[in-house]
Amino acid sequence: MNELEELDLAIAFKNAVAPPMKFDQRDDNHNDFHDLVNMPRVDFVVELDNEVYFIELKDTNRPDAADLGGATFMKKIANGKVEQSLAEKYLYTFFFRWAESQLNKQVHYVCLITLEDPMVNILADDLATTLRHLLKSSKRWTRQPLASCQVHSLQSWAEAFPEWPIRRLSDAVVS
Amino acid sequence: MIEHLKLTNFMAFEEVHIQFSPRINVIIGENGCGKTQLLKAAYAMSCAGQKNYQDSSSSDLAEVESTLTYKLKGIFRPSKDKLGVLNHRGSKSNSVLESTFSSGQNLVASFSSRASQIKLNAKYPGVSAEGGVFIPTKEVMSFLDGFSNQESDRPTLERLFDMTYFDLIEKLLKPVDEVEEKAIWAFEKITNYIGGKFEIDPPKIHFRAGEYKAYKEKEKYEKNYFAAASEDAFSATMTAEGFRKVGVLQSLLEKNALGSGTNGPLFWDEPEANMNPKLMRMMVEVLFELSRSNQQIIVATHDYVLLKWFNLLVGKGDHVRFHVLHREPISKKLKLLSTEDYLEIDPNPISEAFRDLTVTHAKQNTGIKA
Repeated sequence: MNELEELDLAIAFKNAVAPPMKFDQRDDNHNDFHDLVNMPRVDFVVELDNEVYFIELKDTNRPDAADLGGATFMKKIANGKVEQSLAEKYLYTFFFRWAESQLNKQVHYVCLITLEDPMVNILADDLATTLRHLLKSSKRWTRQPLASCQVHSLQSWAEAFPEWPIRRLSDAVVS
Repeated sequence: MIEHLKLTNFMAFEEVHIQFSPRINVIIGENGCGKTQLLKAAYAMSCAGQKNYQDSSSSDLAEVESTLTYKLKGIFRPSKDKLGVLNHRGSKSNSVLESTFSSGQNLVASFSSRASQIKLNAKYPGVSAEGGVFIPTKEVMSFLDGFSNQESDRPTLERLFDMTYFDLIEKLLKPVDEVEEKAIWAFEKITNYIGGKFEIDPPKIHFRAGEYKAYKEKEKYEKNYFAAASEDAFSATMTAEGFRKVGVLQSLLEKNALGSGTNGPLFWDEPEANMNPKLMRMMVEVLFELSRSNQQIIVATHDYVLLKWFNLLVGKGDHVRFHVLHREPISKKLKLLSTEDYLEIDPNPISEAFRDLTVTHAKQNTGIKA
């Protein structure tokens, strides 16, 4: 089963054409170990037939004491630094995969943020604004660096990605 | 079709210059930034050369000056009915409204703070067939009875409503025409979404429930037919206010005031007022469809959902221009920024209101003082 876990959330990528990668792999015994420790990176990389998805999860309902309620992320929102942080994760992941010679498909960047829809919408706009130059297309480019930039709540994720159901590990099935 | 408008020393504006898209224009800005004033000024200028507007086909300069003065005062309702009150506060120069139209017309109207009448450029280009439709913020379907009733007191109505309401109601009270081919899709879309159509038979207005359906023998009949849900129609005031607002659009299509491809612009001030956000997608789809038939659309809005739908539903061949009115932080002067790229809208007061919500939520959850 193509399921990946990140803290309290697990996502099954049913239609992935290759085993989905936990890109933020911190276990140095693992083949996919990300060895540049302080380099920003997304949580998962998932390949479909013609596309690759960079996926970042931000869980503001984390029940664990280490970061209860996603406090670190919430502070970034409060301080106006969240778009820059999310944009960096995409950019560094892009360069890392390019350096691995693993970037042959068009890239979609998808963030899951467990906030209410109206709050997520504005983060989606702000992230797209931060990455807007990559969403455009230069006449000189032969490849599109960013096919789409999306930010979803749990509800909109369920509608947009029915093939990628989410469950909360500490709870029952979420969607 | 209005191509550009320049306002100098007029109302809130020291100087503002707006280049309109021939398709869809979305004006945004904080309260007090002059969105409605801009919309109304563009409407008044669009109407200035209109045949119907002058009550005659004359292009006599003095007559048009007199009518435009009457129109401008009726639309803006200056205190004590003094035209000069519309002059930009503190300005010693004349107010100038200048507009160009796709027909090649160029119209320049000016007046001083003491003037009682507008002066037009000496080379007044004559009568235009266009004009326009202005939909104000309040829904008007429920007022139609009162407006069209002979017993209603006109001076009282004029104290309550500016001239944009009278102009719109005049259009709504016209007899039904055959919906133009180009506007049928929009008309049927609205009808099926709100579950029926408004029927205006002055002074009464009814809502007839039903929907448009395709004939079983599609190859034989090209058009759809209206299947009424029952023989009885009920009072329009029993319909939801949001439906009545959309019903105005429906009725204007039925009277060929919109969507024929030769009409003047549709000016719509805050379409979102009293409208359920769920209706907005349908409404923006309808506006896009009308714009594809050369209907120029100019809306002013505060609403994030509406603004976002204009960004999300834009298709190949469509054109949307966003116009942002804002005050410069230091000089406090009103400025206008226009862009086709939603992500380039800066400042975006509508987004900022939502961001405030998100940041306050985040602060409350992290113990930072909100």
